[in-house]
Amino acid sequence: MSRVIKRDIPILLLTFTALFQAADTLIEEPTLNSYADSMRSAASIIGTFALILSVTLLTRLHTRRLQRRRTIIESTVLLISLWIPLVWGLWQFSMGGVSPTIEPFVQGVFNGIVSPGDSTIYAILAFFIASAAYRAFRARSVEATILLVAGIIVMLAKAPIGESIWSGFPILSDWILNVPNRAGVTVIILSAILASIALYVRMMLGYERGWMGRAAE
Amino acid sequence: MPLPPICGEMAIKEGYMMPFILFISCMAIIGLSIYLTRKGVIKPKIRRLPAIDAIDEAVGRATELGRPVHYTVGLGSVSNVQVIAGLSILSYVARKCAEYDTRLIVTFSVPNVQPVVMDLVKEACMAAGKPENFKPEDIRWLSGRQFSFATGVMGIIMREKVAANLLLGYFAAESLIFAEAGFRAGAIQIAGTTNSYQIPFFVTTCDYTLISEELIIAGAYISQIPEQVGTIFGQDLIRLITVALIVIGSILYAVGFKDFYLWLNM
Amino acid sequence: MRGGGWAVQQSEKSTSLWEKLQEIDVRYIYLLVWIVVSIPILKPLGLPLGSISEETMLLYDFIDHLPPRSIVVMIADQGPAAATECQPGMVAIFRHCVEKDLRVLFFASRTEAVPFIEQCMIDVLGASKDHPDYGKLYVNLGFIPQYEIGLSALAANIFYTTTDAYGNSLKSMEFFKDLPTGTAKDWSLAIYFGNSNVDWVVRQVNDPYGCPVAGGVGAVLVSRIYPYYPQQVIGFLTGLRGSAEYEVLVGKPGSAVAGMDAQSLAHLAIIIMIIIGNIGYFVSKRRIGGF
Repeated sequence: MSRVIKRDIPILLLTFTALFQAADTLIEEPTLNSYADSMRSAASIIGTFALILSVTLLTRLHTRRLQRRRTIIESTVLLISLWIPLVWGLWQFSMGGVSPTIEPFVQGVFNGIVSPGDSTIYAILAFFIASAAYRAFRARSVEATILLVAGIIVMLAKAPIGESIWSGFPILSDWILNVPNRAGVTVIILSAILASIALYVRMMLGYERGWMGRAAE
Repeated sequence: MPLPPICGEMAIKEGYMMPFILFISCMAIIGLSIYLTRKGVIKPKIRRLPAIDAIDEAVGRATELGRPVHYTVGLGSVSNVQVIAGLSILSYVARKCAEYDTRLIVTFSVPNVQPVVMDLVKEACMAAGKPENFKPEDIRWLSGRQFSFATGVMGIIMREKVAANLLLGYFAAESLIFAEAGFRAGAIQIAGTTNSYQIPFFVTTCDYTLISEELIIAGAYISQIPEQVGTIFGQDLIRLITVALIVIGSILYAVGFKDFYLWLNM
Repeated sequence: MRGGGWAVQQSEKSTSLWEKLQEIDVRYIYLLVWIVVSIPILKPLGLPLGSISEETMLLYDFIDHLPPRSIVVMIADQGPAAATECQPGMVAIFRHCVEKDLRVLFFASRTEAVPFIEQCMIDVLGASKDHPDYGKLYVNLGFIPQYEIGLSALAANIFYTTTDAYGNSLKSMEFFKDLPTGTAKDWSLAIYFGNSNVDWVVRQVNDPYGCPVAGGVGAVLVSRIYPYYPQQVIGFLTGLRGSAEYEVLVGKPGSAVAGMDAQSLAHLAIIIMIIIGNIGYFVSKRRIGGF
């Protein structure tokens, strides 16, 4: 019974849902399409409940750390910044119908802290790319040299200064992006799609069970 | 032109006849491959994947140094194929870490991955005979926001001085942030994703990289279960058919015979 | 290709300057990048933008030739990080659509993109929901969750959200009055702005309904778009450079054009560093006798 509940029922649900959604994509039938629509909405709602679980576990983790006097400052900051905007936003929405997207406090926290924080971390990439390129781009082999030269040509083409240095950079760059890059990326996309098909079949047949939290036998 | 109904009001959507045929064919080919593999008619072998073979090395290194292993499936939810592939590998890594008493820290960005990872790691610890090695506080949902997640992972890698950094899942711009942080911590790094625009960052900064489908078949590669390997054989058959269609279609189109192209767009 | 990390063999004690440069503290590299990016922002150099790339021109021409009141759907997926590259392009394209009297339907596929839609409308029109043409030519649907699932639902039924971002009923708006099918078949163009991939937009809008797709995407994503270009994706803006080009095309240079100097110098600095690194590599290889 336990095996049926823990293994067989999830696989049956997965298989049914997958084939139903595939049928919705391929087949025109009003009832089928309508039920598939509802199923997608249901999936969206179920996914949202997982957020409640994760917020609870995160709160429990950091509360325990506070009780053990470990990472006091970090845990306090996290718990305050997690719960206060959440509670305030929900309160404003439930009492006054104010959407979080226009509620001043929530928007203030977003625009003042979250948004600049995101931009800052993204900006770090510029430094990391420079250091990674400096460290790793070596002409160790023929392929590495080709990669290096192609990278330099495309970088120069995409910056206005490149065209000032030589007007041929954009033309070469267009060829690199349109021919070898297009072929390579198409292959990567196709391979991923084919592998995904095989993965989904493995999942539907029960051979792949990582998604259930189960190791393969 | 609308297609005739196949059953009552049910009809294949316009422009979807060929996808319908291909869908059925793909299922049939993979099913047949599994059947033939199970019967022993074909005995396919997956070529060596150094990145997967290096996982043992990575966990071993972490054990020797007494430092933890960090594993992340990245930004995707549990419905993302890359995350599913990452979870398959995680069960193997978790078991290895449990066997060697090595601390494993797992991070992820989408909350619905949490219950799956908890169960996976717990079961791996139990399968290794070391249930006491399961530490729920080392399974961490950091944030649903991309760069908040990136900052959290960077912090964990640097503070905990991880010896092995496994980045196997769905990554976007933060991939280089993780990889650089791992480099600074002196960790051995194994990465894999199907996002083609992040693969170059992994290739330049990590020691081993799984490119695109290598990540997705890794679960089958690790388990070596014949039926799983059979699906990969089926996948390769479909790839051959795809290549044949591309070559034939390109030649026919180039010589002016466009009916083949129209037929594929049916 | 094996990268850095623990597996890189440590060289013998380096002697020459070139070899010492290979092992330079990365903080000097960060400092150099910071200087190279900051100076042109504080004191613009005025480097010419150069020629307009083909993919930007195709997008511009496509929008330019759309008949008045054609529907253009703008999918905002930029977060604060991607907004630097994508937002100027979105503003420039919206400005172009306004000039051509096109109908523009905005929606955000992530919550962080919602304020960027507001900002885009304010930058171009001076107002958002209070503008007299709001509801007639421009509508903001706000955040639609679940990315591909949400877009699929919207493409199948344009009244999927029933109200706009401000709570107004869609059916009462003039924008939606004369739609033949109420699906993505009525759309003339769907433009994606963000740093994710455009596959899901092509799958849900171009494949089933034949609506052309375009992109105002971060530069890192551009290589990923080429398999779809130019059949399904008729044109796109390549990061900040593409946004700058579009700003020039619509005759209103803005933040993207201003960022071009910094981009030029940063690219040049990285290339020079790569060349220096390679010189050091070859010098040390020759010294060790690897040549």
